[in-house]
Amino acid sequence: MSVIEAVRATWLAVGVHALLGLAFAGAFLSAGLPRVDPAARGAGFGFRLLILPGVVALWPLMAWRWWRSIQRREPPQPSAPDGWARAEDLRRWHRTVWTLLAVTGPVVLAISLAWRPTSRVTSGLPVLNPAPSQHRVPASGQ
Amino acid sequence: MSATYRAVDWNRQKRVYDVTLLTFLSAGLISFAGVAWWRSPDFTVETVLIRSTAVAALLLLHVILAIGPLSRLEPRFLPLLYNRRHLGVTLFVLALTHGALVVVQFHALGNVNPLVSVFTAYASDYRLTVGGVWQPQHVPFEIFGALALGILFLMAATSHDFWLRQLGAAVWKLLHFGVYLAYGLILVHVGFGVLQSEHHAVYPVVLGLGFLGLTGLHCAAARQERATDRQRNAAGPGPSGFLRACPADAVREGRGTVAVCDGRRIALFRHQGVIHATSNVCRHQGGPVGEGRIVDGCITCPWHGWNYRPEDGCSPPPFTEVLPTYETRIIGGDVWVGAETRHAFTPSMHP
Repeated sequence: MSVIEAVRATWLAVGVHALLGLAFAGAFLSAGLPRVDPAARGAGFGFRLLILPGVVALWPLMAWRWWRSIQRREPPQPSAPDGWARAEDLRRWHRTVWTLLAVTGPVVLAISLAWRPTSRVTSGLPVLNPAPSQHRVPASGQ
Repeated sequence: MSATYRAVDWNRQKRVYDVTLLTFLSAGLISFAGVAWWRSPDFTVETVLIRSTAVAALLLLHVILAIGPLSRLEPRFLPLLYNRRHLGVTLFVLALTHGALVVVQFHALGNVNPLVSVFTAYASDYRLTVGGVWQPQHVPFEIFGALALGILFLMAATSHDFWLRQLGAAVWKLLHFGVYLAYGLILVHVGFGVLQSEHHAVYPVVLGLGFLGLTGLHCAAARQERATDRQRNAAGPGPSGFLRACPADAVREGRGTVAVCDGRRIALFRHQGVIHATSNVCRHQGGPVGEGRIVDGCITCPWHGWNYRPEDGCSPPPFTEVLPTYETRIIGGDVWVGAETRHAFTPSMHP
């Protein structure tokens, strides 16, 4: 699969997910929201608009929680917190993450500086593609 | 704290916060545009907009990442932490604007979809050697920027308390830890993007200083927190099933005190002469309850004002959150707390 085909396939998947999410969000924000979270009962249009992007992005999760609320005839309980979300664990994770960043950050910057071309015009190399704004793919048959 | 979700619980503090944010942002964008055109009069409007939104987003990201450790090291920075989500959403909007301008400016009007072209325009240059000779070409830095934008979108889209309840504390926190991954991706994006064409030393120096500053702040805060976590109960006899917390005199009327018992942080409050002990972790977003006060007879978390009755840890009606509480005893002038929580609690938004 070429790079172009891979990028097109990725955008297609994202687009399909977004369209399905939009369709689901219309129904969910109208009817499913109070069933999933009673605190959303009576919530205004502004709140529903604010959570719309998240519903579109996470529509499989919200569909599952809506279906579960219908099955059990009660709102799903808030997800039980896992042990690692304790404050002490979070501080440990922060230390781990920042240790990783402290190591990889300088490496990334050093490599990027070393990667720079020594001059703006790199003679002897193949001619680059035309300017991106004129990026054209040959029509089939040519 | 409200029984029904609202888009934004506006109050005076939030309005001041947002007005200040927009003022600094506008001033920054205008200043950058002025300096850019002064140094390079041939820059087009589109180029200045692309660069100014990029710089503003990068600066804002550094501010966001600095707020956490700063508020740990110096409590006067705590007000910046209360509405940090507003900064996060603004960051996403800036980054999206930057990306959209790039796509339109450099990839529109061709015969390839601009959203495809932005990732494939230099596809033929994704190689490390030419004729067997090491001659690395274009690094697809655009992909790293797009991935970072995706992470920022997910964070902005789930910043409301509704998502904290739906996802649960662990998943929500994991998702928002993604800001660190986004920061790393943006370092790659900038390093293999603009740093390849801009050879002036100011760019890597400023980027490096920002990185060093953030790393230093986080290291300093981590050291301080580790020192606190390592506190252990003072040795000495006491009732079984109880842990020594602190001297009773250290708990002032109406104020919170944080003690460490067996590695756990416990919030102690003196209310009407009686000392109460609760978990230090607010059920909302894990704020340090023990750094709060008693207001109208309720423990009040300093981050977002969530309330809990000191006697049983329950939120006043109609709210249902419950903070774990511990039995307390005063022995020899010291406060001792029960090793186990006194009441079963309903897991709310945070353990």
